[in-house]
This record gives sequence, structure tokens and C-alpha cells, in this order.
Amino acid sequence: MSKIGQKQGIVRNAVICVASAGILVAAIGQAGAQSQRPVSADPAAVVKERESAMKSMGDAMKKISAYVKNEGGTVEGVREGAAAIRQASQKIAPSLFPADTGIGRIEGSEAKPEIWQQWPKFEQAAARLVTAGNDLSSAAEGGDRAAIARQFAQVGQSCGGCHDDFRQKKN
Amino acid sequence: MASWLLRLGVPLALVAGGGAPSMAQTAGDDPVKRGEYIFNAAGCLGCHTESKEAPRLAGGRALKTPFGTFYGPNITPDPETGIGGWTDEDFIRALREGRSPDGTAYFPVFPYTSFTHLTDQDLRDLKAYLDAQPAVSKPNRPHDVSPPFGWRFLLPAWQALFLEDGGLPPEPGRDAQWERGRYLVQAAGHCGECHSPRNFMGAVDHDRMLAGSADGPEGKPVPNITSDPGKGIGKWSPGEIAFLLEIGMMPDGDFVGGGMNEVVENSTSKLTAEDREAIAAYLLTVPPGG
Repeated sequence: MSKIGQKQGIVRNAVICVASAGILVAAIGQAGAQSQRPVSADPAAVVKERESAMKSMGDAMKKISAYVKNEGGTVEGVREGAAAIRQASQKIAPSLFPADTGIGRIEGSEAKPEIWQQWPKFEQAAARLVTAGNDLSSAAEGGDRAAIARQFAQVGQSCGGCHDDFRQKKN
Repeated sequence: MASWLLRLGVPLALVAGGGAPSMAQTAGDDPVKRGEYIFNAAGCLGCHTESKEAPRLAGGRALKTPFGTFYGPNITPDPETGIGGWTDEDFIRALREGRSPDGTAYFPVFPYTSFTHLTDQDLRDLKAYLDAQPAVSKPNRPHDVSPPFGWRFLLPAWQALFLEDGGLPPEPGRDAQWERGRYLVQAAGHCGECHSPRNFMGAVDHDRMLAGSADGPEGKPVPNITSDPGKGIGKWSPGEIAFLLEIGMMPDGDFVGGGMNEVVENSTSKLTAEDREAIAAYLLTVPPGG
């Protein structure tokens, strides 16, 4: 068997093992679920989904900043952006960071191991973004530029605070 | 271009997470107030405070470097464990020559190679601000540095090689905004300490100033912020650079991390809009170097 074939076999077995382990954990029930973060069946797909969720929030923030800075953005654009941020931010803690998707575990990951070492702190950081996104949505509904700018800054702080602690950019 | 958030009536304190917006450095006759501005421009808070929950400026913050782990010292006015009892001259010697009141040399993890360019007036104002902060009794934690880098007796030789004390050299043909930007970047902000590569003895490589570092704090890469259009920020507009310094957003909507968010929060968001624009104007003239 070629080396690549061997590697594929190992990967396939690993995936089967991980999936079985997942089923086993589910079967056992809640035991240890709090301390053991779950792993995913397809870490590469999760990383891809994560990056696209993060990018959708970045695009939204760019769009909203054009309104905040009075560079051609519209309140409608802010509403759409805020909706995208709400949608993506709610997925962060529940599904976008399984324990096998960190730096060193999978190629291309920018997720620092601190995420799983300090999971409650990470969850808090994600919750802060969810709240900030909701508040930005409310401000967008109200349509007051200063209120939107204030909430835009709050969302930005949630992004940056979390990136300081938990993201290591590749370049 | 004014600060967007201020123009919209959003006080910067909201963005920066506390503290009133400072006066411009040249304004005001209260040295403590002026000193607060220097303190923010230099971002002293980060390295001298262990964590957000810890007593302010009482030291203990770990800084991992390729040479070992250093712990920021207590700079509160506590006479036993802080810098209480220092004279202005003691303070100026520390920041300009990298020496403590008893003559011992400091490790260059304390960026005196940048602070040496601060003016006398700014150093005295900074001291006035620090003197006005609450004293906290908290003994300094010894550094954990591997030999030979931990051998303090070698430091005077290092300083003789790499410390060029005094003001920044005059640059004919540059305007006041550029001069101010250079002062904020090279002296107060000490940006080059993280954003430049270092030689094997830990000195910043001046030929590649701000060209990025593969081995920044925590051993992580730090980006190139020269005018290089490909590797650096040469394609950014001055407004985009100023906006990053105000709230941490990059032109593509992504938000900085890796310690830079902390710099934005503690330091650059608290500057005046004019000063952020001066930094942007200066950075766009920094040669690629890398």
C-alpha cells in the first residue's frame, strides 16, 4: 500500500474512532460532558464553516463602518449587517469550536489551545458578542447614528478582546 | 478627519473602556493631566498590571520573550515595593539610560531604547501622573531568564552597543505632523519594540524598523507596518490606519488581536484624533526595509 493510501486509511480509521467515541459519549450521557469538550466528526469542515462565519461578520462590520464613518453606508446596510452578526455569533460557542479544531490539531486553524483550556472564559467572550450583536440590531432598528456607532464599537471590542486571548493569526 | 465616534457624540471613554478623553499633550497646565496623556500614549498600563482584575500598575504581568519570561515591576508610588521616593532625576535616568536609582542596569524588555527619545517635559509630566496614582504594596516577581541573557552584569555592555540615548535626529523637510507621528511611534508608543525584528542579542534591527517580527511577544509573529504595499500597510489610506488605532478594525472588517487589541484599548484609542492621524501620516513614510 502506498504511503498516501496508508495515511488515508489512518485518517479514515481516526474518523471512525472519533465518530464512535462521539456516539459512545452520547450513549454514556452527561458524564464528564462539562469538562470534556466534544469533538467533531469532520474537523476540516468545521474550520471552513468557522472561517466563513467569521468572514461574514467581518464583511458586516466593514459595511456598518461605512455608515458610521458616513462613507456611503445606509441604515438598511447596518440592519443587514447586524442580522448577519447575530446569526453567526450565536453559533460560535455551541458549534464552531469543537475540541479537535485548534492550532496543531488541524492545518490552517487559528484557534489557540487556550479556548479549550479556559472554556468558560471563551463562552463568556462569545456571549459578549451575542449581546453586542443584539444591541446593534436594536440600535439599527432605531436608526440613530450615534447609538449605532456606540454599539458598533461594542461589537468591535468583543471581536478584538476575543482575538487577543484566543486567536493566533497565521500571517 | 475627526474621530468618527467623537463626531457622533460618542465619548471615547466608551470605546476605550473607561477614563475620560485626555487633553492634547500641549494643552492644559496640570502636569498630572498632561502626564496621563503620555502614560496612555506609551501604554504603560499593559506591562505593569498583572491582569484586568489585579491592582493597577502594581506589576506582575508576564511577558514571554525568546530570552525568557520577564515580569513587569510595580510602578505605583509605594516606597517599599514600587517607585515611591524616586526623584525626577531618578525617573529620567531610568527611562532614558535604563538604570535604576542604585545604578543597576535594566533589561531592555523595558523599552528604554524607545523612551530615551521622550522629552524632559514629557518625562516629568509622566512622573507627576504616576506619583498621583494609588500606592499598592506588591513585591516584584524575579524574572525567569536563561543564561547568558539573565546575567545582569553584561547589560552595561549591551547598553553601550545598542542604546542611543537622547532625542530623535532632526529630519529636514518634514512637517510638524510627521514629526509628531514619528515621536508617537518611535518614542512614546515604542511600536518598533514589537513590530521589528531583533538581532541575536535582542536589539531591534534599525535597518528593518517596523518590518515585522517572526518572534514577537509570546513568540508569535507580529505584522509588518511599513509603507511596503505588499507586506506592509502601504495600500492603506491614512483614514484606515487611524480607524484601526481608534477601534481596532482592519480595512477588511476584521478586528486585531494578538495583543494589538490591548494596545488599542489602553493606548491608541485614548489619543486625540490628530495624534492618530499623525501616526498614520508617519507610518506611510516608513521605508519597506524588510
